[in-house]
Amino acid sequence: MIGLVEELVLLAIEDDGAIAHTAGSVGFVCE
Amino acid sequence: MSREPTDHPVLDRVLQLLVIEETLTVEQWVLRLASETPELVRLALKSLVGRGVLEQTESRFLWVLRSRRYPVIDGREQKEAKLRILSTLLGEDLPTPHDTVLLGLARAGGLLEAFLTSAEIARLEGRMEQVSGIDLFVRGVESAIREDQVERARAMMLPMY
Repeated sequence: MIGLVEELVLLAIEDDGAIAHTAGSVGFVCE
Repeated sequence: MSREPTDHPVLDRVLQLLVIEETLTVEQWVLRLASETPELVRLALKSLVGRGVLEQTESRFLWVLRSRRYPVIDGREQKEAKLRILSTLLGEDLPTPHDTVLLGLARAGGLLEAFLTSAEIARLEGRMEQVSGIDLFVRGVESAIREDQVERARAMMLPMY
């Protein structure tokens, strides 16, 4: 079973596999 | 506080910081951990790839820039998380502590917009307030994000000279 943080990251994954830039993602770096 | 590993790399990384630093409020911890976000997200993505939930793909853009993506493999875990959020929002029962925090943090992080329309979010605002208000941690994270956004907006308004 995956953890809460993994679930939240999973919710930020868009259909094309990119990571959404969200309100709480200050400083998010998507390589 | 226990220093025992939890088998979740992200939690273990935060735990390392929690035991060596002074006592801070939830708001202060969120702002303190903001600089750790890239590393924490990297660890969470690595864990999801390792568990076979995501795959990692790389491509080049204009021959030089590297683009990394994480397509979902079968979507079961992502669908399950969305369904639990919807069930919490549409139900009337008291959600589990896990689902309360999941909904609260997804809302605070703007993640609900990925699968709910603005009209649906507006319609469910009352229920979200009710559920998110239960958890002190969620309220602290919301407050820290608001504070950070106000600071950033203020910084953008400062004259350049």
